[in-house]
Amino acid sequence: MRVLVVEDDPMLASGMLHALQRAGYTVDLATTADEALAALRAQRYALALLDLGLPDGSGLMALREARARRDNTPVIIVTARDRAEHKVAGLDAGADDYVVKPFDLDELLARVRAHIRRGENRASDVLSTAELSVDLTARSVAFRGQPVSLTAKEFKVLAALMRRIGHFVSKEELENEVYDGEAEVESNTIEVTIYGLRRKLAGDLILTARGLGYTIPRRP
Amino acid sequence: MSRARTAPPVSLIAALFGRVGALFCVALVLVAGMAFLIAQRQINAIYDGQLIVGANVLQALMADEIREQAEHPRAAPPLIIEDNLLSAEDRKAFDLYADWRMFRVWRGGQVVLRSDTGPPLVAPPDRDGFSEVQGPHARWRLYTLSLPKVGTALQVGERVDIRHVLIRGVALELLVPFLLFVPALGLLMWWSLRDGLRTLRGLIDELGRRTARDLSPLPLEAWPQDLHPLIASINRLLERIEAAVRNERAFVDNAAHQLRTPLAAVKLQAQLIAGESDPTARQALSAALAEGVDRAAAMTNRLLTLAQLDSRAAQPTTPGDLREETVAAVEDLALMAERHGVALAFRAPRGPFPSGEPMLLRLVASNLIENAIKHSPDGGEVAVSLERSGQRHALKVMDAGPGIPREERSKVSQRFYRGRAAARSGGAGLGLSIAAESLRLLGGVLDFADRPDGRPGLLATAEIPARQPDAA
Repeated sequence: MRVLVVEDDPMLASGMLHALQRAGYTVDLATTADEALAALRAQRYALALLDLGLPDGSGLMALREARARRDNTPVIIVTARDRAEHKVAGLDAGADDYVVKPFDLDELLARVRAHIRRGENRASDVLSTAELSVDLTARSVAFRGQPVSLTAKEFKVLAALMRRIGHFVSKEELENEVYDGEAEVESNTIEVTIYGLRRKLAGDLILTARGLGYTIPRRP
Repeated sequence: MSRARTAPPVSLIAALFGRVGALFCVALVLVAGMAFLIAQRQINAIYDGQLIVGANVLQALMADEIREQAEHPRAAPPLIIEDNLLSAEDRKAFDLYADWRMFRVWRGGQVVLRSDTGPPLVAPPDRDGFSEVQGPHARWRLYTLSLPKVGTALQVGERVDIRHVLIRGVALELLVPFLLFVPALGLLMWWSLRDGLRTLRGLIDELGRRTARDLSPLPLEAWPQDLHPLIASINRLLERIEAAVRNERAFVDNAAHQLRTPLAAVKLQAQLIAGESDPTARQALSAALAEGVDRAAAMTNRLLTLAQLDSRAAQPTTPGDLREETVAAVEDLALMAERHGVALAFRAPRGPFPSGEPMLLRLVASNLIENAIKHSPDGGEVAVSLERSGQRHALKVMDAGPGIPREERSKVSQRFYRGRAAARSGGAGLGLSIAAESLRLLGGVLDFADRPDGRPGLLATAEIPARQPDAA
């Protein structure tokens, strides 16, 4: 799951990046309102964390602009402004949640999960079929009742496929799930990862169609 | 803001009352004076009329005698002092006013008949009508009626002071109601002044009810027109206060943001350390944590510096030397420049640069140099130089950074304003405002320009008044 962090303080930004990556998210960082708007236009994010005091203007303006062009990415405002009027203004501008600095990491991560869940219309962070169960919070996978150990990339790809179960996910979309902004994309990464998943789980779990990508079909 | 006034009025009503009362008293005195004069004239007219009547009555009373005299003129008329010339009643009537009145009957230069009263007269009157004569005890007003046919002149007179007595009586009678009237009128005036100033008290109450949060302007149409200038200036004041409050609130918000963000980073790092098992990663996170604490401390110091500068009034300062303080600032920042890979250069003509408060000089120099270091690219140079030009010293700091766009230059010394370049350096937007504030207290000005050699970079010039050697 790809998350956008909009934070101009380099230390806090690197801390948040670290924490979110450790929680299994693919994270992009924007330090200005302009960068944030450009990133939101270029990519589909599962969620955005938005600071309000940005050097080139208020994060609120960026949020309003994004909402005006019908961008419905879940947005959590993370700011030092704690007055009620600021919260009201932030939520009214289109934010889904409002967290005041300094925040508690676990609470922030729980809110991130909740809003992604809501954004994807899911009731739970445990995605399951008859044979497979993927717990997005615990980042654990069980196949036919047995826990399976996956690499970070494998988990990200499997989670992406499970979140859109029954639909094809293109190779580019999967690459976006796996790669952070800075890393260089290797052309066969997805193929290697899919191969690993098929080997660890079941050969026929993930189907492929050229031109469409990969899918885990719904099985009755 | 206090303007020196010789004697501030104790109370508006008292002041108004004093003025109106004084005018009123002047008017009253004038009216009373006029009334007195008119009364005097009337009394004079009436009494003069009575003198004329008196003379005619005397002529009528003496008609027989006079006629007889005319029919039998004598060469030398004998003194006729006969009591029967006037009847007893006539005498009595005269005696009622005996002290005040007199009469004489002259014939051929001799007094033939006279009352006991009156001034001693030696010569008969030479003309008809009124005249005044000073007697031994009093002044007399006389009316002379000549009867040339019979060679007789009748003279009737009256003491002038009886008129004064009468006029005094009239004035005294007027004085009593006048004395009652004045305080009653004063009370009425006081009351109506208070009533008239009720709107003003309404304004006072309205303003008294205001709280610091309610700074909305007063509605002009709710007050009488005379108060509009006052209301308008109160509104202008309210506007200024509101702007100041808004500024203050923005400052507090920004300060909160700038303090909470490093604290949030510190807390986050601490929580990440707790969840990290890898020792190398833990070490990196611990280093980041320590850095975060340093940054929060630096931010607190800057905010405190600004707060101190704020509360500082322009006061007589201890003399300092711009060169000493600039060199000290360069020394302080040498390590930071080293870490940023920035070279520092200093150039100044020989001799001291006497100037103002050393602490302020140091703040100007260190904040300008620190800003330049932060925005310099790796391998860049920050050139610090001092110049003397007449009454002022110039501290110039030139860097090779991205510079400040022309349209941002006026804003960069505002608190918490961060240019686009500052976003990358992670500055809080306080350094330049501390420099500007310190300069303001020193009486100097801060100016930003492009590098004169045309290369990218910023030239910041602080002009600081030089201290005159004799002013030490």
